[in-house]
This record gives sequence, C-alpha cells and structure tokens, in this order.
Amino acid sequence: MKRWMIVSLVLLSVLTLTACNDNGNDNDDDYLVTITFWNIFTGPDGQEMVNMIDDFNAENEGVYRVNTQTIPANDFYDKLNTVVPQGQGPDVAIMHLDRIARYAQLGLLTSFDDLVEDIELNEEDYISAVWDAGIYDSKRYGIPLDVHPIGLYYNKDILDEYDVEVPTTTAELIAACDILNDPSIDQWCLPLSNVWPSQLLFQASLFQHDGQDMFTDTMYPAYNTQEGYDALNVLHELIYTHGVSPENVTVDEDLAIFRQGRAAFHINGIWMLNGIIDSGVNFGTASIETLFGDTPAIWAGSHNFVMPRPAKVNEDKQEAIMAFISYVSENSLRWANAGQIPANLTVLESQEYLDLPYHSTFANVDHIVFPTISPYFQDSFEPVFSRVTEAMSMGNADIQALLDEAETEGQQRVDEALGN
Amino acid sequence: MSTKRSVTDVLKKNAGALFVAPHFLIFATFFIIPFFYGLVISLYDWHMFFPEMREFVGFANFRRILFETDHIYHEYFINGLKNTFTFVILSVPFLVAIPLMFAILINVEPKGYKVFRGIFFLPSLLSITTLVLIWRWVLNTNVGILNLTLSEVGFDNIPWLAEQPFAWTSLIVMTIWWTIGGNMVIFTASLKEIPQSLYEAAEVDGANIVQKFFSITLPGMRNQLVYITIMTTLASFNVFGQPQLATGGGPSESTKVLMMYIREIAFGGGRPNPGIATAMAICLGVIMIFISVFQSRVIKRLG
Repeated sequence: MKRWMIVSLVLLSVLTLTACNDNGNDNDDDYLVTITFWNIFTGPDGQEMVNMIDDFNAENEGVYRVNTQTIPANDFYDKLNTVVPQGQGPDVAIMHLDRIARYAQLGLLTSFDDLVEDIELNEEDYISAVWDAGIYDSKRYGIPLDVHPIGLYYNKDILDEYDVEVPTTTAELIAACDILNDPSIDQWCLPLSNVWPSQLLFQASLFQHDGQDMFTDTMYPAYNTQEGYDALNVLHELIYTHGVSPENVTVDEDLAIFRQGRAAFHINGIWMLNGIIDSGVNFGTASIETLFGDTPAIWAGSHNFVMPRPAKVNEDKQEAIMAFISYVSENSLRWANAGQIPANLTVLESQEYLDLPYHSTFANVDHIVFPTISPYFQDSFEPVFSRVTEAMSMGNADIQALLDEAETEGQQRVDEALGN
Repeated sequence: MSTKRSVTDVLKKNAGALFVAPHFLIFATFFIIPFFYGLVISLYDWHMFFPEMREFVGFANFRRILFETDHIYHEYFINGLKNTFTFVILSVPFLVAIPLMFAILINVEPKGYKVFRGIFFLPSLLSITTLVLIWRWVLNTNVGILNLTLSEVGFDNIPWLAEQPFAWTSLIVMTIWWTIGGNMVIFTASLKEIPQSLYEAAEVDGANIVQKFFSITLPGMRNQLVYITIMTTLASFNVFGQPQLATGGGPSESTKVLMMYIREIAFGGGRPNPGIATAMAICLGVIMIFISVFQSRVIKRLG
C-alpha cells in the first residue's frame, strides 16, 4: 500500500514537471493556433492590454488564441537573453525601441520583412519617425504600438491664480518661475529630479540645441561638443542660476511635489498621466519642443512588437502574430486611454482621440525625436547619465570636465564593445 | 519474496544517499554546475549568443581587470571593489553589534518583550524593493518624512541619498533595519544556552555587568558569533539591491558596488562580456573566502 502511494506521488510530480514545460498547448484542438505574448506592462496599462487580448481571443475563438504573460521590464530582458538562444522564447513580445538594434544584432529577433506586406499595415499608417525607427540594418524588426514622449504637466489653478501663460521657451520659463516660486507658501515652479528622468531631459535639450547623441559611423559619443555643453548647462543654470527647482530633488520627488499641488510645472513621460490624474490636481499638458533650445525636438521612446527568434519558423503562428498586431494597432485608442500615445495615425487623427483631454496637447508628434538606433547606444550614451546627475546636483559643477569624462568612458566602452 | 527483501535491503543500505539526493540535485543545479561553468566562462572571450565566436583566452580577463591600469574594466573593477569594501567595513560591525544588543535586552525579558521581538523581526520579511521604497519616502530630500521633521526643529534639508557621507549612512541604516531580525533570533537562542549558574557565580565574586558580558556572555556564544560575523560579512559583500534601487550608484558612482558593475558588464551594452564579469565575480569570491577564513581564525583565537 505504501509503496503504491510513493509510486503515484513520484508519477504525479513527474507529470506536474512536464506539464510546466509545454506552454499549456496540449488542450487546444488542431485548427486553433496559439501564440505566446510577453509584455512588460506592469502598471495600470497592463490591465488594458489584458482586456484587449481577451477581446481578440473572443473575436477569433477557435482560430487564434493569444496567451500573455506580464513580466517587469528588467527581468524581461534578462529572461529573453536566456530563453531565446534555446528556442524557448515567446512568439511575440513588446520591446523598447532603444533595445531593438541590440537584440537584432545579437540574432535574437526575426525580421518582419516578409510579413508586413501581407497585412494592411504600412508606412502611411504610422508617425513616420517611429515607423522608420523599427528598422535596423535595412531590415524591419519592430512594429510600433505607441510613442511615449516627455511633456509638460502644468497646474491650472496655480497658473490662473498668478495669471501666467504656459511657457514655451527657456526665457519664458525663467520669467514664469520668477513669479511662481514662492518659498513662503512652499510653492515651487519646476522641481527637476537630478536622477531619473534627468537623462531624458538632457537628451531633449541636446536635440533642441541641434546636438547629437552619438556618431553613427564610429559609434563614439557625440555629446561632448558646444551643443552638448549648452544643453547640459541650461539644466544646470535652471536650478542654480534661476532657481526654478529646489536642490537635490531625487527620483519621483519632483512628481510627488507636483501631485501635492505644490509645483506649477512637472516634466515627465506620458506614462505618468494616469498617476497625475489620480492625484486630483487640476492640470493641463503642453509640448516642450523648444523649452530648452531653439530647434524643436521632443525626446520619445516607443513600445514595439518584436518576434523573438523561434526554434523553427511556423507560418501559422506568424499569421496569428500579424493578425494580433493589426488588431491591437487598429484598436490602439484603447491603449491611449491606458496612458500612451498610439503610433497609428488613423487613431491619432480620429475625433475620439482628439477629444481626449490630455493627449493631443501633450506632444507635437511632428517634432518627436528618438535616440540613435544602434546596438552601441547604451555603451556610448549611458556614461553621461551620472554626469547629468552631477551637473544638476552640484552648484559648482564643471560641466566641461563632466562631459570630457563621460566621452572618454563612452569611447572606451565602445572600443571594448567593437573589439577595437 | 526474496526480491522484495533485496529491494528493501538496497534502499536501507543507501538510505543516507537517498535522503541527501533531493538536496544534492538542487545544490548541483543551482550551485556546483553554475560555479564550474563560471570558472570556464572566465577563461574565455565569451559570447552569450554566438558560440562559434567564443575564444579561449586563458587568464587574459583576470589580467585585464587586475593589472591593465588604463583599461575601462580595470577602473570599473577597482571602483566597484572599493565601494563594496566601504560598505562591508562600515556595515558589518553594526549589523553584528546592534542585533546583539537587542538580543541581550530581549533576553532580560522586560514587559512586552515578545511584542518587541516580533516588531524587530518584521522588516526581515520585506523584499528589497519594498524596503527601499519605504526608506526613499523617509529619506527624500524635499518630501521625505525625516527632512520634514528636521525642518520643524530648524535644520536645512539634508540630501540623504544624493550626497556623501549621507548616502552611505542611509544605505547602512536601511540595511541594519532590514537585517536586525535574523541575527537577533540566533543571538537570542544562543543567550538562552549560557548556564545561569555562571552569572550567579560571577555575581558572588562581585563582577559587574561589563565584566559579565565580556567574560561570560561573549565567550559563551563564540560559535554563533563566528557564524554570524562570517555570514553577515559574506552577505554584505554581495550587496546589490540597496544601492541599485536607493542611490542608483550615485553620487558620482561612489555607491556603485561591484555587483552592479558585474551585472552591467555581463548583460549590458552592444557587446555583453560575461567573461570579464565572471572574472570579476571570481576575484570577489576569492577575496571573500580569504576574509572569512581569516575572520574565523581571529575570532576563535580571541575566544
């Protein structure tokens, strides 16, 4: 009797272990094509994505089925690194635009080249900057879901009270802040975090000064120039010469002050929209394309659909993937409600989208600029992050020296990565 | 019938091995195999995704991080090691002494000591992310509770996470708060094992509290002390979550510990370099082995 129990226990555990291994495909009937989809939407937007997938599954019952898994971004990339080389990756996944070139170069992604023609998605349907950005080495690896630019949130009540217009240039910002800063009631104009998202502000400022982030031929950093100096210096002076922000603001503190109604302005990504709506502050949004310099430019990122390299290509699955991507793209107005700007122009131009209270004013999509698409972007550009922090946290920061240091480190890292 | 008996016999003979087997399997999968695999990787110019491009380079990775002084990986290694050592040296004494102090106080069994024992242990249950989130809202320069309280009594804002020496102070305080419970429980248990008669005898001889502590309590818990000191030191060498999440390695990369560099080099950039990263990890491992052997010798000799 006892032995019988042990045997059945062992069998049971073996069965459980195998069951974990097969993506749960066993129960599906023959015609049903099941695809796995990994997404990185851990916030409230994740729920909307799950709802959209449920609706897609309902509409295509018996034909296609999408099984999704939500994984925090950091784990997601580490996980892809380990499972894709073994052919165990998901069929389709969401990836940040700036990662695509790296993963494509490492051979972990499949190109969409042969597939985009079969469906009704093409260049005219998308904001052109983001459509072009999905291409690496003249092959298409990404199909954009959304763009997420940074923009200006402003507190309507404070601006009305002091009768101040929303600033569009550095000079206007400084003038507005002279009026709006009021230490006696603990009110700040524009708290600026030294840490995240300061690197995005620097990139925006760099583009607005007509500067470049990296050279696309040598892969070396391109920010140690007069333009780069001016770009960083503006941020430094806003804090230490013009006092628009308190000193030593760390990550999310800028957001907290704005949410408490103690700040007139806040710069953050559109991904913060729902968080700011929740705070109950009476606010509006504005585009920042010339806030730091004269050349209109707004930093933006983008979520893209990618196809991790499968163990072997399955055409049925590819068909299902494209059907799913088209469905989500066409219905991306729902995605806008979850807090992002859809990449699909038909949706962007629809009256329903224009009627959304915060989206269409948030960023002028004509001036969206993406960081350079290169596998070596991180090597080249990341060294400047901690220097941006220093420039924004020290009143006596030597901007030139900081950029020199960052450039040297970036060059060394690029040399190492290229095997020079 | 005879087969049945022989099966039982075989099982009985190998009972020890059978009991160990499940743990050994897990230990092998998650420790022994990765360990030796790591040793192998450190001797290669390793490509994670293109096996055909892997190239055996002997000790070149080690030479690079240890001796090629103008190399970026050498700079990263030295800075990371320096910061890790700073954390270990600053944190370990507190991480051992403070739980010991609390254990002694609890051991006196004052009123409500059980409640306090629970309270002190609670933070150990938090994940590192939760821990850092909580502390960030305490320590934030402009909206943190601590500075808000200090400003009520006339202090200026202190950048707890953005400037030294505050950044180290903050990281160490949150680590102490987080880990107090585990060490305290071990100390409390070992205090119970010291015979009360020794204290009574000492009292008869007229020993004061300090003398009793150094002559009875400390020697009485020598083994636990060795264990806790070594384990705490090892844990501190592996510090990653607190600086990664609370300071991001800043200010000026002064809290960027070696684990943070290792992770970046192994997985980041256009050309992840696991060879260099594992070489760094192995160097750190060797240092940790030497230090724990040294610690156990010193403490045993002192006892």
